[in-house]
Amino acid sequence: MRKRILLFLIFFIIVFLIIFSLMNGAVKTSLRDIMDVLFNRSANTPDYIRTIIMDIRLPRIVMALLVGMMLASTGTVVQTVYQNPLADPYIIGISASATFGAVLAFILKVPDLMYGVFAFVSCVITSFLIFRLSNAGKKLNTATLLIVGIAVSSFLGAFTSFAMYMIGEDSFKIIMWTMGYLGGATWSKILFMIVPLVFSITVFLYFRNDLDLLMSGEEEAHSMGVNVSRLKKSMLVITALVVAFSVAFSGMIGFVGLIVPHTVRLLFGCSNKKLIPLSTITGGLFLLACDTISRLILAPMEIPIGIITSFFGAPFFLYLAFNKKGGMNR
Amino acid sequence: MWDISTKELCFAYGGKINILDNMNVSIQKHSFSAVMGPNGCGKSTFIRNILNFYTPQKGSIEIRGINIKGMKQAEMAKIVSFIPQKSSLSADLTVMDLIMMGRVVHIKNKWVGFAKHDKEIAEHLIKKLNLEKFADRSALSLSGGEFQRVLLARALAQEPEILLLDEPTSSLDMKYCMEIMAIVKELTAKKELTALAVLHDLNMTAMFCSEIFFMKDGSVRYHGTPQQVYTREIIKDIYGIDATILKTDEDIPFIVPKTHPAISAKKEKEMAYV
Ligand SMILES: Nc1ncnc2c1ncn2[C@@H]1O[C@H](COP(=O)(O)OP(=O)(O)OP(=O)(O)O)[C@@H](O)[C@H]1O
Ligand SMILES: [Mg+2]
Repeated sequence: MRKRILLFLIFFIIVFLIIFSLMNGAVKTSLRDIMDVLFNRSANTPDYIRTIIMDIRLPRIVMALLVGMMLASTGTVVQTVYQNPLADPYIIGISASATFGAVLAFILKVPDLMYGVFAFVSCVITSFLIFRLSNAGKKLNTATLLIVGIAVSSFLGAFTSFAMYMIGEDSFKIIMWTMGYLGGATWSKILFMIVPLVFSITVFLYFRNDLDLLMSGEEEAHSMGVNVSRLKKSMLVITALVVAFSVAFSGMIGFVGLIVPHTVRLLFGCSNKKLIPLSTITGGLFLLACDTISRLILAPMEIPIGIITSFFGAPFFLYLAFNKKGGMNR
Repeated sequence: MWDISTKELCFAYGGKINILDNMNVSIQKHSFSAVMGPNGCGKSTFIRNILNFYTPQKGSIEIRGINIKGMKQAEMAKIVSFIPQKSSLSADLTVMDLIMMGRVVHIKNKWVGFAKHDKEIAEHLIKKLNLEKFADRSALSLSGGEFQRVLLARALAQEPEILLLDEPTSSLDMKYCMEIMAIVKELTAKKELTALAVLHDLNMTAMFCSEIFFMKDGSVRYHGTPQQVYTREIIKDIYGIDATILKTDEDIPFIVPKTHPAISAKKEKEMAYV
């Protein structure tokens, strides 16, 4: 019963956030305008309002929801694979490697749509490197996890910083990648992101029970019929794909994949059947909230969204690292 | 045909030392057998090899006459299930969720997930093992013994034909220890299961197991019925302890270490006649 109410609350907040976010910004719009633009094409709303709502705010909102979903669902799965609640693509350096790939693509001046591909290749390579470093994906203890994360992030980050330094003035795009930015949302980008998102969520849900078994450790999962190394590898490839797309289109946004799954575990339990869909939805909610804050708090100036998520996420990370209770232990 | 049979099995973890050194074990169908031996002699390693979790460097393992090399995990899991010495469960699942894990390998359609039948099997086992009051509890909050019983329920939920148990009773009190051994014994007697357990309690083992394999330094030194292998010489060789072997009325051997301060040589003689 309590869970029903929570679920209802999540949906209610999402709807509220969408409307609130559509209404507010440099130009305020009324609820009436929004309704007219969305549902009543014959109404004579001014063109600039229509443009603001349909071409600027709505795509950005959808993008925030999608990216939030991607980050939270991959965070959930990576935590299961490494059996550590602190594992998340951002922390272990997969996001940094996506940025590296995207920056490389930028420097090589390949077409925009190839950024995702470059990021993906770079992510897959890093994922498998981490997989090998962690002794073929065995339960990762927190120290190893953090060391690997710091090493990978710093190494690839050095390259990114160097690129930024060399490019100089034109480096806004790179700053966007390292701090996260949802301002460039367009409907075509959204179409591009929906594919990996739907694909990954479908696969994650298909393997929900096998992922549950992984939480019992490799040996037990094996004895209950799971091909552990194959499952882990395929989950990591899909995670790499999703992270690559999210970073290529919206930059590196940290801690979403950490805060959201953990909170959902505490509220709804660890069973992947519930955890995956609920984390996904809550991830969308969380990132939309953060993006709305990043747009409005210093309006008309925007703060890169990664700064907002890190602001909330880093203290939360500390809390998780020092508090053993709840959800998943290590 | 043997249910489990290993021939000249050798296994080493990374390094050069053979943890298993020429292990030859044959387990009869529907028997309840025990592997015993000092700490670190390779018992758990042996079980992991039978599970196909580790691949032996030399020798072969056959289950029902089929070499397990190259057998798929899911194929194995439908025949063999396993209770670990120490579970590495890391997530806060409910006891029910944990027991349902045993059913995953039997899921026909992964999109649909568990069927009604799966749930019924889990509920039946919860009743059978007296776990009703824990069903909705978080598994990580259980005591060691309670958790052990949940693991047995999970292993049985897998509907195995062969059950491997690694010290299943190590954290159980006397009552549940007897109960779990009795449940396994009953399943083997009803010809529903073959069980191979790693055990430490010599006397408990003698009460329930028909065949004992005494291991030392990675190989089987002695095997036979409790009556055959519980001798002063063998106990001395395996554990390095002087013991007295007593007999119950049913001719089940009962081992008392000689160094036990409560038993003087004189008293010991009297006890043998009780
Ligand atoms: N993963 C591993 N890597 C290296 N050595 C290992 C590993 N696991 C076990 N060993 C070593 O192999 C030997 C046998 O271990 P095993 O766990 O099989 O013993 P055991 O007979 O089950 O002992 P116990 O009665 O204490 O459970 C021990 O010396 C142990 O230190
Ligand atoms: Mg052992």
